[in-house]
Amino acid sequence: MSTGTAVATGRRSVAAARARPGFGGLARRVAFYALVIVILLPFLFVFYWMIINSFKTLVDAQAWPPKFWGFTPTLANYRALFQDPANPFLDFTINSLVIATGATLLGLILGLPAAYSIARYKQNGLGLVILTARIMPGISFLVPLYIIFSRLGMIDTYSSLIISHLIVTMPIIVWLMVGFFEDLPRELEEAARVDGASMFGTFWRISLPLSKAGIVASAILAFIFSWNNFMFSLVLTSVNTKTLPVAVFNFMGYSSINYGAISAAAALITLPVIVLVLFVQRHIVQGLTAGGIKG
Amino acid sequence: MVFPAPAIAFLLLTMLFPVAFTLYMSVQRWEFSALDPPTFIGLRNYADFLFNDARFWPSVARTFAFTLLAVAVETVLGVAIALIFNREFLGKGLIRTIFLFPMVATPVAIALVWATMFDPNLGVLNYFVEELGLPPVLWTSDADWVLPALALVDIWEWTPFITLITLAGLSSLPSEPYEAARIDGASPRQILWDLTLPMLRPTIVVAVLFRAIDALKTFDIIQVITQGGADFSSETLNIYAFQNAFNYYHLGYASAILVFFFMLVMGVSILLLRVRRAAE
Amino acid sequence: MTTSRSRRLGGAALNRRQVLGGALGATGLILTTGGRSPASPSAAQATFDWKKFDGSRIRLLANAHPWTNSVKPVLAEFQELTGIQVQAEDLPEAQFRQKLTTELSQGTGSVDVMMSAPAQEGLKYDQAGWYEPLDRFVQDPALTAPDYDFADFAPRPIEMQTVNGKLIGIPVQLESTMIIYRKDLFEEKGIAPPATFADLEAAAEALHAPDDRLFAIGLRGKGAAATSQWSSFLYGYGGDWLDPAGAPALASQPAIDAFTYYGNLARNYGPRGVENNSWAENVALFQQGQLGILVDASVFKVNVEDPSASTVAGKVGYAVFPQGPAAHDVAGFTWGLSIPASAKNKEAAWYFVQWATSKAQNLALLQKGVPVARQSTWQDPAYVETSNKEFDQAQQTSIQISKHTSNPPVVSVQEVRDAVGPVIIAAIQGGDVPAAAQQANETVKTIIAQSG
Repeated sequence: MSTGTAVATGRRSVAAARARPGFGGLARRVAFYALVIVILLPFLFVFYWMIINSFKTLVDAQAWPPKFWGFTPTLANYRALFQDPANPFLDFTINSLVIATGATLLGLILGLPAAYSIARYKQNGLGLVILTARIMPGISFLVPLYIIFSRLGMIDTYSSLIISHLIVTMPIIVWLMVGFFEDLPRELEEAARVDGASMFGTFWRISLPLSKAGIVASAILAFIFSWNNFMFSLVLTSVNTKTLPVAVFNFMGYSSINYGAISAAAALITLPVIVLVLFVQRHIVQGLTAGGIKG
Repeated sequence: MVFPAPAIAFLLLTMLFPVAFTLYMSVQRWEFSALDPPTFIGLRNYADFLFNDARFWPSVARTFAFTLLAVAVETVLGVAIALIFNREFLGKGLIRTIFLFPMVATPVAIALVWATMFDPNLGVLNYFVEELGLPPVLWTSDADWVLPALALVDIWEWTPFITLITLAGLSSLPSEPYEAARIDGASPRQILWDLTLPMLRPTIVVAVLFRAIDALKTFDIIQVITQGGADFSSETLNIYAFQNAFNYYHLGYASAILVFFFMLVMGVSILLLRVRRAAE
Repeated sequence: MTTSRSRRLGGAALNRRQVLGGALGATGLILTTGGRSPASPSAAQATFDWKKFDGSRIRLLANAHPWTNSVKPVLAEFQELTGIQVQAEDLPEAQFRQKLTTELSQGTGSVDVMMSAPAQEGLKYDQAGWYEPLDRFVQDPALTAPDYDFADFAPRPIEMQTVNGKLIGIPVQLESTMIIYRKDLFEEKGIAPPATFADLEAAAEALHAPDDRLFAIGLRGKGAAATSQWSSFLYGYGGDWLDPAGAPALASQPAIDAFTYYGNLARNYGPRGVENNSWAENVALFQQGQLGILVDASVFKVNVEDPSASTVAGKVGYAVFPQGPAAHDVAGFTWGLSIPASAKNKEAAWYFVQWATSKAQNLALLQKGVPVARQSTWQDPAYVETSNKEFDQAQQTSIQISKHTSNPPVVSVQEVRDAVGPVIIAAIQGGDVPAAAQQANETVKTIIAQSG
């Protein structure tokens, strides 16, 4: 966990210390913060624009020059989303939650042992198979998945969606966790083995608890990628299991000229992800970077 | 080895059939018809797109152009921003959080927001351009601009990823070489180019590998914003395969293109993995 | 690129109150017109058994279209009448086609009723064996209510819903290319609605004021999407997609004239970046008061007249597409409801199709601004009372003069449209039109030889 901890606690490296502004650096500090703001602006503006437009009438949203503020806000776009009896957004949200949670949990059950064996026993062949899952173009799955699940009578069931989303979640979990497991001190595991613990026992009682941070991080990212998935959900869902991206895209689709409505729908689907990130940002940064560094 | 068995079994189950199906279809002619079953035509699909399809090679070139442009800018910008942020300052944690937003936001939704911003007549981007006293840009309507415009969306989404990974890499660099360099009287510029960047290379290569795979496969944002337009100038391989499968009903032909595409991405990945090993 | 072929509504249809209002309007009408609707039993109805398939379930796969938005809130009425439960699923056009194609190709019978636009996919679906012919249902008194009045449908849309001699769908919507223009600006400049191509260009010249953000004419420029609106110009010059022998005729003189005229008009008097504009972008510009004339499908009347979305509502005029140098013709287009050959509940599906295309449902649709295919509906007092006579007139005349659809009469419609799109873009950009047309013609020749 060494790398992760170092990042999370923001341990100062020598390089960082060197870059620190000196005494009379008030001007430099102001310049630095100005630079930070310039860097952040483009990233934030897109979100600002999405949110502000979601409170505009169509006339305001398409106005020229664009209205950055100073218009009468309206909730009509959100009302249209929520009050349409033909579009039970609460149901879609629940569907998305169930599927993303299921795909994440199953992804952990399958992915953690796999990642562990790649990290500990250098199973590079397995790593390659999992890399292949990442490389396969998504559209080559569409027709085959439909064929499998329609033959099994599983179209429009949670199971088929969870299984298909595993194609997305498992590689993420494995990719991140290999880095984490490789960082675990081997001494503890070896001590446990000497004390007679089985391989599985060591994994279960020693390695997993030590990797809690990594597991949380990879679970959250897996959840988000499943939540965002559009392609598989489109082919495998129908009225009973429609997920939020499919439903929201549908809404956007037929009103594709209505900037306000598009923005409201986009904001609605992005919001839960952003909230989730706010709560667990530390874990994600840790997970991403650990996995990223180790690959 | 029993540990990875469930994962392997799952991967075989969910991937073996799609892979086998795509390979099988790639040597068939099938137009989704219920009346005419697939007919075996050997490698004709492959021969057709390799030698006889005016839209195929340009789409290969665009796939690479988009990936190169997006990943190069992301890498340079991402590393540069990380070097700027690599110090203690008030609000650093907040910034790291903000930097997570673009890459976790739902791509389909973000692409739609960008599509409204790109509108050449009503979009907010041209408002900024005109305020700067420049002539309006046609963004996605202009054959020369459309790939850079789409790359801009990808850059917006993924530069933070490179930044965060580089930041982590920076914080785990050993301190001894820096002390030695300082004793030798190296300038900050020398330290950056001769010390920091070389030591960061393995980290950056891994980040580039994953970005490159995903950028080659980009689908959502192109499909939402341009569907391959204007005039095919943003039609990448993925989009072209999709068009062939679901708009032209040539599933066999599309499958052959997908097999080629898969091998292409695989080739790039192996190449980058080699680079990574060399870097280590 | 199929998205661009869409016929969807913007903000207008989103408003729940309007949707409900429309539904209530329809109910009100049923009461006042006394028993013309299948929902209210009358003497003639007594013999027809609406409950014959009580307890069945059918699945409807639809394009997210004004029709779909209009019917979803009233599905409960259908269930009450027939006891048949409808699972309705709608998706944006590109995704709708992708999903429909995938499902139909497996022949699993997962779809009982589908939306279909024969001009786009009629020949392809028929070739693939996906359509159930509907003639036998229409003619069967045991399955079709006596007051259904099939003869009420205008002949032109029924012709368009007939593929290789089989009736493959019942139209739910009928549209044509139309001149949608700003009445106030025309009056200001003292110009009349254009009657000829020359008039159209003159009007565009008079209106164009790009420095004041007023662009004279909104034509689609986005390659394949543009071909459907360009086709009316092709017909006006006396051209056609194919020659009488069935070979592509896109490099013929009429075709080159049409490309050139269309390209010049778009380049000289259109909004900037028109090469990426489909209906959605142009309708948005028109709503913002930045376009003088919109040349697009008549179905967009509802968008430009919606006061919550359009700054020009109430200032809009409608005119028939102008006469060309060689002919007065205009492209028509229709969406219909079809039953897949693999459907499991064909009879129950037919019950749904006939209910959804009944006079009462047609009236409800038309009152929401969706142009429909039944003739009597346009004369219905409940509609005429508040209707825009200029629009009604333009729509009726268009359907009368229309001899073509907006698409090439081939199996590979989308592939051919994608091949023709670059010629339109070359024309807009002032490129070498004859060379581009010649090249497209060759490409289309290959496509037709391979796939029909």
